[in-house]
Amino acid sequence: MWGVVGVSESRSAPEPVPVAEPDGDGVPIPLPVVGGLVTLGSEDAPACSDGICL
Amino acid sequence: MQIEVWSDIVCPWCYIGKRRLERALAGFEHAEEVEVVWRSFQLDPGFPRGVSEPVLDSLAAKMNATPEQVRAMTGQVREVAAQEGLHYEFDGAVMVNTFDAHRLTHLAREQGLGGQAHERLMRAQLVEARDLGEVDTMVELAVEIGLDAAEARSVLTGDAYTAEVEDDIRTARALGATGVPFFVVDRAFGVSGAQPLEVFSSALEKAHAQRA
Repeated sequence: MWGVVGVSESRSAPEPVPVAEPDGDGVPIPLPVVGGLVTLGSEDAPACSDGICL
Repeated sequence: MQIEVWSDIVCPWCYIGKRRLERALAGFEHAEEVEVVWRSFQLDPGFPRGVSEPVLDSLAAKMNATPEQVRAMTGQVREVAAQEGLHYEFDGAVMVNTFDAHRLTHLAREQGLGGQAHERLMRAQLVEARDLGEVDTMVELAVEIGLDAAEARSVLTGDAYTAEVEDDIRTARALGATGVPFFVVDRAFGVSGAQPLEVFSSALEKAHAQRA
């Protein structure tokens, strides 16, 4: 309920992905790259934006 | 290794994220190699400077809700905060424009006290419901962390470190942040929001492995 915001996916452009993680079958899954950063964690982690945390 | 943390003083999830990062660092084998740099971000830069307003009223106006409805909505963050040992006080809390508080954190950062400044100001805002719009209160908090009272007052009543605060906010945007807390490790890995402890630990391990 406190807001769900974070990294703007729309800013991302295709970039080389330096890190990959295996899925359950051992197949590498590229991690998302946003703003040149390899992003870790879920997109819906609680955060605050535009003065709202609810 | 360098961890940059973009955070706002009035952000309840930022304080929770800070605690989780600290716990991750406490369990990280190479913690002594890590430098944490606290950077500024404003959740509500348009909030008028010089105005102090009850947080619940401020949020209610933004959300077109009643203060009672907003109070009910704070339940989850209160609960999560309590699990991190933080007991938030929203009822008496006051919303202010945090730009001056951030300028003060840059003075502290210059003196190696950036982490202490963010910790003390967040505790004052979120746990103690202090009015950070009052210069005397801010000076008192600054002195508590080891800053000189006259220097702190001079910063708070002037415009020092304006460029530094603005630069931090600009950099966050350039890195894709739309909210806080926002953690960047070695300008290679990003962690957005108050993620679980495991995510912070994973970021530390990955960044360290990349340097090896």
